Amino acid sequence: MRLWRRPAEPGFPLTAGELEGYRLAAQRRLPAGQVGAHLRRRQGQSLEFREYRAYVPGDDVRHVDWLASARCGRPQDYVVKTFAAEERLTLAVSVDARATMAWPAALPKRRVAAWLARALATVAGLSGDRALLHRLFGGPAAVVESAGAVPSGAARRWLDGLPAATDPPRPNLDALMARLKPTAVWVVITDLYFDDPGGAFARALARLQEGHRWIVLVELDSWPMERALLDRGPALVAGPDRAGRRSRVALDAAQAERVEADIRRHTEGLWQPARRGGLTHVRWSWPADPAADAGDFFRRAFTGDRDLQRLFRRTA
Amino acid sequence: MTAAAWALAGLLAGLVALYMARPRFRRRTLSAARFLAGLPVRETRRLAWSWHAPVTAPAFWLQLLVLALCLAAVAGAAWRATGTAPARLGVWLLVDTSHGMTTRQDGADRMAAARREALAAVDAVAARAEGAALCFRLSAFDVVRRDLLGDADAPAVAAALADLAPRPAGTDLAVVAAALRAPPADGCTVTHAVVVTDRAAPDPAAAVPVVWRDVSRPAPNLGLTGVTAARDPLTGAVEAVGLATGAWGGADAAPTVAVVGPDGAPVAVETGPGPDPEARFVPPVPGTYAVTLAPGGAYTGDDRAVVEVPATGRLAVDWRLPDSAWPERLGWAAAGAGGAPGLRVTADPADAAADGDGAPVPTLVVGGGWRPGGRTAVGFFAEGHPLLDMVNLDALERAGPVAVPLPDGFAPVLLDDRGGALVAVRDEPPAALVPGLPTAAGTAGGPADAVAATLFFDALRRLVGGSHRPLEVAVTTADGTPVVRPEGEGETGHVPRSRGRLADIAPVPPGAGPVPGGAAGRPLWPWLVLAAAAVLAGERALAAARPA
Repeated sequence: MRLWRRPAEPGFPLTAGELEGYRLAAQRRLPAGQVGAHLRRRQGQSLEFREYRAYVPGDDVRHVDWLASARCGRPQDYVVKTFAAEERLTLAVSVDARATMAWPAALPKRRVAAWLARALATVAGLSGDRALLHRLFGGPAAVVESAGAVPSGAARRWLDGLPAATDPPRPNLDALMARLKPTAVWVVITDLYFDDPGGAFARALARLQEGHRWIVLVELDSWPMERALLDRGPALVAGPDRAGRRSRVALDAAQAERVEADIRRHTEGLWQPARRGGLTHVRWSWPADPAADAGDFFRRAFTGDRDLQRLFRRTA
Repeated sequence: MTAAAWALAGLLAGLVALYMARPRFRRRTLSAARFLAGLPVRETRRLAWSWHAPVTAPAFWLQLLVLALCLAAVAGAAWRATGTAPARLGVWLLVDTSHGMTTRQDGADRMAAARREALAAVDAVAARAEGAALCFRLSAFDVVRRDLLGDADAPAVAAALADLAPRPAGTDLAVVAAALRAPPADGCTVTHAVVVTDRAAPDPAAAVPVVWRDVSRPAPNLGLTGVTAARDPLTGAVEAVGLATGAWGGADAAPTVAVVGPDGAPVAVETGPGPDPEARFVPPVPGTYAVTLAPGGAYTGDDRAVVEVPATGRLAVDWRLPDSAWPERLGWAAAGAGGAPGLRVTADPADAAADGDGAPVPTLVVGGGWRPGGRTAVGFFAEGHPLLDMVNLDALERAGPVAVPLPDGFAPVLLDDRGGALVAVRDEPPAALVPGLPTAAGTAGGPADAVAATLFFDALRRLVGGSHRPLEVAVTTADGTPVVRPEGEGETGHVPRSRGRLADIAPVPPGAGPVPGGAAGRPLWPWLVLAAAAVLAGERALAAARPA
């Protein structure tokens, strides 16, 4: 006779040492021709005024305050505005908490999203940066700030009990937009299975890119694992967004390809039209084994993702 | 149970079949389900059969247990919970408190021996309880049963035993037998009974094991055993009183009976011969006579008696025959106008009819008389009828009785060969028909006259005999207290006979013997249903905890 034990919720798979190692490695490695988030920030337009000083050769003539120079007297005495250097990076991480993110049961996307948000917030803290944790969909604005080497208590609670979005999900971007500085980085972690009928999500992507924000879109693609489940035989398929409706499915290869194409078409339709040059798309594809180890998958996906490492690159 | 077993087997087969059925479509919940909605629907049967043993599935066994419990609840609706209580020992002490327990033996009375025996039984039972739930009942009995303690412990029983004393009453073992057949249902539930008495153990049917302790020892005793009266058969007047005596337990002294009359004067007593002589005295007047026997012996409750000799008057007769000398000759009084007569004698059967609203008067109807020298052939007679007691039919035929038509309402007892009634009788109102008065035969002193007299007095005895007030006799104690139903109390010579052993009294294990709270006990089926519900809840919880 066999008894079952309910499996315990797996814990965060990365240690503090591993995250520190990740940060150091990220600061050294950078593919040729690419810049990191900190470099982008120094080249951007900081709006934080510091002081006026006399013009010296080499200064950017765009920083000359002509009205102030006219008030100084001699025509050759130009006055330039200087701005405070913006050394701290603001890393906003939006996590999709809709119902589809709770599946597949063997490796829920919401769990991986929470781990990724925690890892990014921790590494940002180790880098001296500030992290904003944000629920992408849902009711009242839910933005939690985390700073320092260890995520704050509120941030940890937010990550441990990531609240699910209410149905139907609504974009929840206003509170986040107000807190994103022009040189901030916005990381969006989602499966892109949602609809954007009013175009709010696409507009946000476009607007932030135009404001010199860098957007990293992490797409969690669980289709390989769910297809593996369907390959085991006929199934009565239900979905968290299907309101109890079930479909009798016996998937063959052609149908599987068709479904995968549909998924691609849908997900790319959400971000491709809004791409302006400041958007990086990253896809994390789930293993095709329903029994795969969640922690191992996350560790390999996180440490192997070069685009995410760029977030913490400080030198060109 | 056979039907229940078949039902269980059927349910088991159904459950196994259920477990062999596998859904062809496995339930899957996918986040990408919305992208599968457009696929063609697979049309096929939803169930597939897979031959395998379900013995490795805990849910199978739990569900089978639920079915078995539900089936047991239905099939065992009459089951009662008896096995949940600890071992029990409930002992009912029944102690004899009849007056015979005052009999002296071994220097003390039997009541003292009974107390010792009862206390020994209490101690023995308490020692053997061995942690079982122990309780006692205590009852006393003589001619009735008295329940003294319904649910008590050993010290309470010992205290109550100290207060027990004999009562002026005899012993009715039927009371004990009835009690042992149906012990009380309330209070201490009886598992064993201990009877302590001076009577030999009978073999009564009992609902529980019985230990019968006979504490008697043979003791010499002399006593009165009965009082009889010799009466005038017609008037009921007590002409003599007989006093029967007995001797038991080796008593060999000749008893002396003394009688004191109503006026306090001694009355002469004649004593007959024999080992159990009967004394006899003639009461000169009605009244109370005190009888004393000496020496009494070990038991004093049968040495004294008070005999009430009733006053009797002459028989009042409504005499309607022409020969009026007969009532005076028989010592009868003429019925006055103030009260109903004790007898009516008439020649007209119509006078035997009911007496209006008053009480019916026994009526003797005198028939056709005797025909001297004649001969009447007897045609029919009721053999053994009391009206023909001691009658010689040959002598009767020679006496020449004259038959009459059978009166209405009468049953024939003796008919002649032509169907005429010679002797007849009616039960209600009481009446009898005889051929004639004794002297009518005209052969005074001869056989025919004897036949006539026999018939006449047989009829009178039927009509007025046996209705006399019985002699009132009270056997008393030394202080004059009457002993109720004293028969047999003085028979002190029987060999003691006990039955059962105190060592055999042992706690009754749970589920055996009488059930506390009555024979019914508590029904078991609600517990079975509750257990089924609990198992089902556990099975559901297990199913919920099982990983998908």
